[in-house]
Formats: sequence, C-alpha cells, structure tokens
Amino acid sequence: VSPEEAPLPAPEPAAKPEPVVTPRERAALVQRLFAEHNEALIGFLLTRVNSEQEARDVAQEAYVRMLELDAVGAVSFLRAYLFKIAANLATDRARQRATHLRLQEQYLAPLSRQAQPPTPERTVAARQELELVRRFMAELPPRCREAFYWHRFRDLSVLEIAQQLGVSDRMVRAYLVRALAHCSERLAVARGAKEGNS
Amino acid sequence: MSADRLTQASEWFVRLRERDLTTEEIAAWLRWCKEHPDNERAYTQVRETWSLAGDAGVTEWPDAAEVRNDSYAGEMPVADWHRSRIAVPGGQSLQPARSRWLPAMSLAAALAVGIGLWAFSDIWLPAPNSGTFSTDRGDQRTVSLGDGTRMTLGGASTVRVEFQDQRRDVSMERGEVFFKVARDRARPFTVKSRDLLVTAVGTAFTVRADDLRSVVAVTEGIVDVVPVRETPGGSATSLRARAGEQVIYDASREVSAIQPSDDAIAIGWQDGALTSIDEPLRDVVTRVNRYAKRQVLVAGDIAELRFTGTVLEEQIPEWAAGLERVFPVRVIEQADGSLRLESR
Repeated sequence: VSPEEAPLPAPEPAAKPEPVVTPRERAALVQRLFAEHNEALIGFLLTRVNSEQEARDVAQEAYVRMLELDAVGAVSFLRAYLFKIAANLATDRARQRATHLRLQEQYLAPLSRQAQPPTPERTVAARQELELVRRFMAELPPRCREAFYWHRFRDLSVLEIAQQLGVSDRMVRAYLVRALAHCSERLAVARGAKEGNS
Repeated sequence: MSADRLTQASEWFVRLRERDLTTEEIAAWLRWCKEHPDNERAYTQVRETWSLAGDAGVTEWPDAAEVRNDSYAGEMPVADWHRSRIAVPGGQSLQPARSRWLPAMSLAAALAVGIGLWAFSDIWLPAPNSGTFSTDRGDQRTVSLGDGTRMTLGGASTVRVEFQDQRRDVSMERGEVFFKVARDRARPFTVKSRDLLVTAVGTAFTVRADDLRSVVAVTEGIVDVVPVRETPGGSATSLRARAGEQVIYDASREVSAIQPSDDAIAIGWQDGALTSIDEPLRDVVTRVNRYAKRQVLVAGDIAELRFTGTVLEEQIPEWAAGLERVFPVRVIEQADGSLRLESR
C-alpha cells in the first residue's frame, strides 16, 4: 500500500475532551452537526463520489458512525472527525468502483462499449451543456488537458500523474486548477448568455 | 463570478480530493466558504463543472508530440495562454462559446459576440516594451512582452527590458530566464548578462547567470554568444549555438565551450527539475538555492566537485542527503534550518 493509498488517519481527540456524554446528548450533537454542516459535507463528498445520491448515502453512514463513537470531544473536533470519516468512506467506495470498472473493462468490454441509452431527464439543454464542457476541455493546453483527463477519467492521483508526465506534483496541481477554473468560467459565461436569451 | 474566485474554488476542489487532506484544511475550507456567499457559489460552480466533465467524457486525447512540445506550465489562466499564442505564428485564438442553442440573428447573437469580446478582452491591453521584472526565491513568473516575446523567470531572477525602434535589449543581473523570442528581423533581440552577450533572431533559449559561470541553452533556432569582457589582445570570439546545444562560460578562466544540451537541461527547471551535467557543486547549489525553502551552503574545499544529475525542486533536502553517498561530504543541519555541505 503506497502512502498515497493509505486511509486518512483518524484525528487524535482534542486536547480538552469533554466529559463522557449520554447517548441522548451525543445524538443531539450529531443532529447539530447535521443541521450546521450537512450541506458542506455533501459538497465535500461530491469531490470524491460521482452522484449526489451517493454523497448522501456516504454522509448518512458517517452520521451513524458518529453516533457509535465512544470518544467525544469538542464540537470542532467532532466536525473535523465527521469529515474525516466521510472522506474515508468515500475513498473506500471509489476504490470499489475502480475495481468494478476494471473488471467490467476486462471481461465485459463489448457490453460496456455500447452506447448508454438516453435518459429522459437528459434534456436538450443538458446535452448541449455537455457538448460545451467537452469543447472547453478540448481548449486546454495539451499537457494540462492530459493531466485533467487522467485525473477525471482514469482516477489517477496527483502524484501518479506527476510520475506519468515527469513533472512535479505542484505542476500537476496547477494544471488541474487551471483546467477546472477555465471550464467553470467558460460555462458561467455561456450560461449567463443563455439566461439573457430566455 | 470573478475568475479569481473560481480559481480559488478550483484550488480547494483539487486539494479536497487528495488523500493526505488534513482536518485543518477542511476547517479552513469551511471558513473560506462562509467568508463570502460568492465563495460558496464559486465552489458549487466548480463542483458542477467536475460533474458535467465526468458525464461529457473524453473526445480526443492529446497526442504525444503535442504533449511533448507544450510549454504551458500553469503559470497563467488558460484563456491568457490562448491570447499569448495569438502573437505566435500558428497560434490559435480561443473561439467564443457560440452555443448552438442560440438562434442566429437575434439578441442571442449579440450576446454571443459579447462572449467573443470576453475571450479577447485583454488583447487590447498593451504588453510592456520596457520595465524591470523580478522574482523571489522559489518563484516563477511568465511575462509576455510587446513584441510577442515570452519570458519565464526562474527563482531569484531579475531582468530589465528596453525595446527600441532598431533593437530589443534585455539585460539580466542574475538568475535563470527562458526566452521565447518573437521573430523580427528588423530588430535584433539581445540578452546581456554580466558575462555574456546573446543575440537571437526568432528562437527559444535559456540564459542562466551564476557568479562564476553562465550557461546559454538553446531549444529552437540559433543564437550567437559573445563574452562581454574582451579577451586580451583581440576581439571577443563569437560562438554560435544551435538548438540542442549550450554555451558554457567559465568566468574564472574566461573560456567558453559548446556542449550538447537537451530540453531537460534548457527548460526542465520550469517544471522544478534542475538538471546539471558535469557542473561544479558551487554552481549547482547556487541554482538550487533559487528554489530551495532551506538554503544550502557549500564549504570552499568541495565547491569544485563535479556533479551530474537532476535535483527535484521538491526534494532538495533529500538530494543533499544523497550527496553523502556519492561524494566525500557530509550534510550538517544549521540552527537556522539551512544545510551545510562539508568535506568528510
């Protein structure tokens, strides 16, 4: 297991742990975390999983783990811990998915190559947006584009891409950031124009 | 939504995906989101882009030659990169995102033109024809000049630019700078360092000026190199270096030599890989220190040891430690965190 692959270590309990709480108090704390941070947690998880539904599933599981947690510290500690647990759960899922995809590509390649049937909710507008994003990605400088493609479509980490391209990991991060910012900005402008039209 | 905010949001996004993310960073990200409603909006926008990109899929992977020849180092936004290439022959401008959903001949068409203007808006800002440009230690910076020339400054480097009607003069005090010179036969482009005068017509090369040694490594075209100091009893000899060659000037002995070079040597430093071939340790360290967070010092008696190899900007302490195995040196950590190389 490479260091990159190692799961996140659970954070140490905060320096000043609060006295042991009852299950009821613990549940209240978790509810408070949910109320204050659920949206941010979903936003965070969407960096690591593919759909909103999956993000909600992972968040749900993270809350359950929080309820089972024995050590209880300050709320700020619990919040950080919640995000850590959720990140680890999401990473596990991503790994399962990668294995799944690999098997699928290996044994079921002919099937998976078939075009996916269009889903009804894919409206014309949504399809056009996909077309635009495809074009924006094609505008990226070659190396930057390759780095982004590897990251997005091959699940390669920053360090793995750095090795592939023979550049520093800092450079890879810069490529990924520029790629995301570029596509986001172009998309925002295109959307602005469309709203102006309707 | 400002471009800066989207860039910050993208930085967060990329970081949040990494496995070694710390709880402090998560907390900092949450704070950033709450700092301004636009921050949160920008983050959501980037997240959507990521998700749309996944659904959009890859149309075409860049081919190997394209990737090899690409010198973009993430130093500027992609839109700026497109703009900078307009000045270069063969460069293409960014096409406005004229969407197919907008019927032509309508208000929408006018808006599409608006998008076009957005894509080109900065072109009308004049690029400088003169000025002093410098970087701090560990920095890198790319500057586009009025004639379409692009220069990339390595760490701790200073360059002065003075373009005139008949000539384009650049002087360089210290450091390491890559020049991608725009062709203009009527106005020769010269770079003067303390020791060398380099003349180029439409070419690309790196000039590196250290205390006792200068290097001019050519990646495209041809340059002429003349020592600034006249050789005793005669005019200075000019050396002509072609792509794939470099001129080394040893200031202590006042001699120049031509050697084979390659892109790893000439421009690898832009990616944080400092490659040396048979170079005195003293010069290797001078250069390393332009990028190192912890400075490296060399004792006088080992300064002339010859080093061949590549130092990665991110692994300078490891490199120093590795020297103990190949040279009779030891590495001593100083109180201020710097590393001192001494003979063993």
